[in-house]
Amino acid sequence: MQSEPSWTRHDLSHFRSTTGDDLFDVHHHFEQWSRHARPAGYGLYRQYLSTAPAQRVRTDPAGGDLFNLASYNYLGLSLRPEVLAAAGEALAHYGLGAAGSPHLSGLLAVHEALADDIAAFKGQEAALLFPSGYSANVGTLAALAGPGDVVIADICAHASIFDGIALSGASTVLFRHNDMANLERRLRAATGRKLVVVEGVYSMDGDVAPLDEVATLCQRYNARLMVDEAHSAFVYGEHGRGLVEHYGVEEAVDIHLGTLSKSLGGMGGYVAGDHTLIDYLRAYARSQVFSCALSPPVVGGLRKALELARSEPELRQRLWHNVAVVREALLAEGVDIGGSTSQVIPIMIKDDTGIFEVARRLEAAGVYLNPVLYPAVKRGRSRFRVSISAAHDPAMLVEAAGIIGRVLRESGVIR
Amino acid sequence: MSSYRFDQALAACFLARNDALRAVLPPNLRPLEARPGHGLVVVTAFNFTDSEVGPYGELVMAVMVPPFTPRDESWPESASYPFDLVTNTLDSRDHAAGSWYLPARPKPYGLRFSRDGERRSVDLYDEGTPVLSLSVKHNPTWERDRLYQVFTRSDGRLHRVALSVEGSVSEHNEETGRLTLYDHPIADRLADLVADDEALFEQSMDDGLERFLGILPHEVIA
Repeated sequence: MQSEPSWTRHDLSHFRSTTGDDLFDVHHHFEQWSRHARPAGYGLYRQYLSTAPAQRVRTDPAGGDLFNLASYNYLGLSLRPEVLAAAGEALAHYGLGAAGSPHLSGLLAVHEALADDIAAFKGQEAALLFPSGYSANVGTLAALAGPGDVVIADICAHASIFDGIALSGASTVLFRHNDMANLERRLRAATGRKLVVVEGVYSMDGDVAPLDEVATLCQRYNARLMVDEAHSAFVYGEHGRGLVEHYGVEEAVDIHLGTLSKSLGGMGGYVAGDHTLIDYLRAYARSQVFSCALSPPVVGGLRKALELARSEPELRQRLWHNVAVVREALLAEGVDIGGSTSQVIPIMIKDDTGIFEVARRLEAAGVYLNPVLYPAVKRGRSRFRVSISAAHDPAMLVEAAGIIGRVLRESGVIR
Repeated sequence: MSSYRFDQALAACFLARNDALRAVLPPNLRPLEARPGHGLVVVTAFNFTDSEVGPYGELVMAVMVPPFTPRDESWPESASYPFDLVTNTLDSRDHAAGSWYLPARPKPYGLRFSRDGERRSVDLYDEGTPVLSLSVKHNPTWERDRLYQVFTRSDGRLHRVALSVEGSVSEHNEETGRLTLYDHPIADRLADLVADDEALFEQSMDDGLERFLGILPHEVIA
């Protein structure tokens, strides 16, 4: 039996909600905790890369290269020369910023072109751009739902979904992660207008939502359905249209939401759907109404990235090949990868205190990964999150898996 | 300072809708937001082997609330507002209500603690009739000594109780804890609050010590 290190008495969840005489008292307590927690490992969250988030990265500019298994960039598009050239052209043509809200001067031809491209790609009537995936969820939910409505969400859904529901004033009802019987219980019990929100791929476990079953339940109980495909759009489905294509439920989904920062390697978010939905959101999704439009060079680069994602299906084939390679290599090393079936692969450590030391050893051995622990995941379920890219070299992935296995054995995580 | 030694303790937190919890709380307190729109009901049971009122068992039902944390006080592990409490002896009942203003039910109830492999359980009875069962999974333990805050009420005023609990603790949120509610007013009250009978967080302890460190007048109830 071990004694508890002082900094583990609390974690980031403790300093969020407090009462007291002075609003700033909590800062004092947080600083007291941070003083121990930072050197113990939380300081890793301040670590920055001194290079582009490519296949090999450096934290210390003078240090050695590290295998990067932490960045999204699932299709390897963020550093493609064609994408950089397109971004450069847009930069030269429009300048660095849009210099306005999309409702005023900020709406540029390149924005409308990208929105049209996304709508066409997703097979939807229209699409709307947002400054980020976070703002897409917040703005959409706050615009569509309101007091008296019920939004039923998977308990593992992204924070932006819950923030959007909270902002809307609708009632939040949670169902157990990917538990369709539990979702049905919630749908049966709900009264009023109902919206079900799920993700495609869940970002901490890398498992996928059973969208066919979710869609069937929504139809049975007359609920609208919103799917956040932040991690699944452009990589799942024969044409890359996401898990909705994979499951054949594109028509059954009312709101198609995603990000432009992961598979396409840029930034921003989108919502696609019927033109009536998009027109409404254009007017009432305050997170885009009251934000500056996306930076033109990013949008120019995204148009090219989307074009490549559509015209080069081999990118998806390469991604899934890499996923199979690294899964096999990690499993051969005896690494616990949880229930992942996607390009997001957790490496389960399950030691909320010891994970930081494992992170240090991994970096020293040449692998860059970020620790994830409570409250981002459950207590005792800490892990590293591997993100696989089409740009990864399969031989590098096998080598990295070997290093991970060795470090985890040396750390006593696996035998 | 009062000390209470126990050989077994278990606790589990269950999601509950905030609007239901607000109906239980005095207006000065609000639920701790554990999930959007949801707070936590915590059910805790102790099997005390030694105390100033002798051995006894206790089961407390409480709402988790944000702690009161002025700059010059230690940060507690958590804070709660007990809204229902049962004990299995009259002396302990009178002690809980008299010393700490805990909302103790006036008569003794039956409490049975059990261990079966990695499960720890407590069953609550009212004159032999089952009221509820709580069961949690016991994992490897850590030695811990933690500070807690409890808000109690009497005569239109809230009181802030500081207590510490030390011992070897298992805690996790593997969602393996279960609450079974039977047909009884105590269980009915819990059923009205709890949105999910699977525990979000569960704790169990063997051979520990609870200390009541003091009670301070907090606020007049609005």
